[in-house]
Amino acid sequence: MPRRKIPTKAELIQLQKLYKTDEKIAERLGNVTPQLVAYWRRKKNIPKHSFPKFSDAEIRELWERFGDDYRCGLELGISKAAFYNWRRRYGLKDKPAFLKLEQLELNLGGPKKLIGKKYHYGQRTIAQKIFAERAGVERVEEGEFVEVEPDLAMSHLNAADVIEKFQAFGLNYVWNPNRIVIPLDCRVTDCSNHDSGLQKAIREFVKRQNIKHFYDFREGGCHQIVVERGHVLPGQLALGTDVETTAYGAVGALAAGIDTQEMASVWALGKIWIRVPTTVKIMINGRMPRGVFAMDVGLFIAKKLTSAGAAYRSIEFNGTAMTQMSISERMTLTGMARAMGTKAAVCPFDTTTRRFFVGRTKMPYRPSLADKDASYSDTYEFNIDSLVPKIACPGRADNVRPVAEVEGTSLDKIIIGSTNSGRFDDLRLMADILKGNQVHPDVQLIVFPGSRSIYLEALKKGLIRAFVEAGVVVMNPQSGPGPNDQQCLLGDGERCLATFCDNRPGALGSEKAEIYLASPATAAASAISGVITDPTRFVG
Amino acid sequence: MCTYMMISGVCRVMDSDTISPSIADGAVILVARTAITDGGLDHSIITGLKAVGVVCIIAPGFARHLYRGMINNGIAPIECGATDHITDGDTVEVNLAEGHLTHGTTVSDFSPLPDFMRKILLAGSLAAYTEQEIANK
Repeated sequence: MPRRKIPTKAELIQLQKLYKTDEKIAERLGNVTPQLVAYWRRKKNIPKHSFPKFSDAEIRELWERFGDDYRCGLELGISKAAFYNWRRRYGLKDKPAFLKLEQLELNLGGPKKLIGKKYHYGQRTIAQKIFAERAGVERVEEGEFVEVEPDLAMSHLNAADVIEKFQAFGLNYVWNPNRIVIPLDCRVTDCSNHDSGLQKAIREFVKRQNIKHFYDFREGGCHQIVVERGHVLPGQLALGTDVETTAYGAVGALAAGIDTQEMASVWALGKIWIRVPTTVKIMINGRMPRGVFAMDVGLFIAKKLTSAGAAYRSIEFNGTAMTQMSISERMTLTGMARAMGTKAAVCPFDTTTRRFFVGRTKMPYRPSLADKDASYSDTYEFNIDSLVPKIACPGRADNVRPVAEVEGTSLDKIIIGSTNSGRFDDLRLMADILKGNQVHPDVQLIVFPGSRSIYLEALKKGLIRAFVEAGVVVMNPQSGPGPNDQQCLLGDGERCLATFCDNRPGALGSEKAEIYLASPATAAASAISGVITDPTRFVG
Repeated sequence: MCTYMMISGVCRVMDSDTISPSIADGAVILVARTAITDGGLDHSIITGLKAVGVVCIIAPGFARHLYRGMINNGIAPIECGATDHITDGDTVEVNLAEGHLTHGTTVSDFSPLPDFMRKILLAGSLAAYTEQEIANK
């Protein structure tokens, strides 16, 4: 048998350039297996050919569609410069046809309208795009019913109820354990025998089903964990058995709350019915003045829209003020959207969002942007340059007034927590205000750090020490008290200031208690004086 | 009567937006003159209505969670404001597939329900529909 000629390194590199894969090279050489080609390659330190991340067709299609490096880059999750480089790589130097025609100002009548219709982005909102993708259809219209498969299904302690309903179906396995996230949250100090039994049932179920994304109650609040750990990504659809699931919209995902029976159906079938909502666009322009924070902006918008203003609709936030907000502030805003009765709330995907996910996830994602000509049921534009700190008075979250109008009202408890606050930014702001001061003896200030990592960061930076020295009660990481919990409950006639989004009678115990909603800054300032206080003079 | 395509039966008209199972009084269809918001209905009432045989509620609008609760419990929520011609005790026919509400010679339109929604209603609840889908797999 003639001795096989082994190609030299240069020859192998040349072959790889022409034929790319080991299989094709082996085919070309004849009488050689792909494994042998791979062996030669490894011996000569030639790496395996990797296909480009974005194909020629992909880049070309986007360029023809948008004609703008920035917009194209956003679709792929890369920068404007990166997309330009990809375009150059594939030799796309010319502008797309529709831009050339626009420049020539050709009045083509019918054909021009066709081109306009083709390239003016399809008139879809973010909600329409995401629901269409998850339903596996080209397009969905507002008001249409579709069955969608979510990218993420979140349940906290009520996962026990979901498990019971799921097991009633007689199935052995959930639809996709990698898409289920169960952060236990809450119910630590106020844990009854029954609750402990529920937690045990959840732990056993999680082990049986191999659900990797399970976070026991030491880890913190459910929504904070989901966002912090990168479980929900831009352009995804997330469903949760909690009304504050809308907070995931801060990272450009579409998220809605469902009940435990619906979640059990999701675990069983991997899909659930949804009615595509109409969308309200809210433009927030300007800059937050001193003393005004995301919670004040959220309360301001809740008053303008009222609690039924966005009922069964989704909200798209945008505007110059939005682009200046951090993800933490956006979570406060989208969490507050619940006070407007909304189904879902989304913030735009931009550089802030992209930077947030650097190092947080290795999963690819495709952000969804509203089409340039998307139609909205209502559009609101607000300028917050002259906004003042706001407070929601007892009874309704849209019963909002300037803090100055209720200044001097005595308080019994102040609670910082929930999806709206409890993040590191909020804790640092509070620590700055409380520095050198003590909590008023007539008031109990209770802080719930949002997660274990936030708690550790606060410990490292000395914030927890500052809180304890000031007389703050620092709880374990969690979302904070809720209607069904037994912690921080209010008695008859007690008055509480909280950073939540729900202040209905009975939301925290007695129906005769009063709950005000305000920003962490207002809460910290009020804790010092013992009465509701405008934080403006405390903030540097 | 309730089939995959159609619901027909005696209806009861409600003047207030607060509903309770006792209002049904043998009727299978309830008609509300005003939109049903949070205060007018809750989940315990939905199950109560289901228990007394109500299969359809017609109103100009519904709060979101109530809409979902009704579908998931097998009660068809029909959004239709043109119901002034309907009086207590009348027989109406609701065509779920085509989106027509027929009362005598008067036909009003509403958004039709797609195939899988009608299956949920016919199964009686989301849980029953899920069991059927599992059995069909």
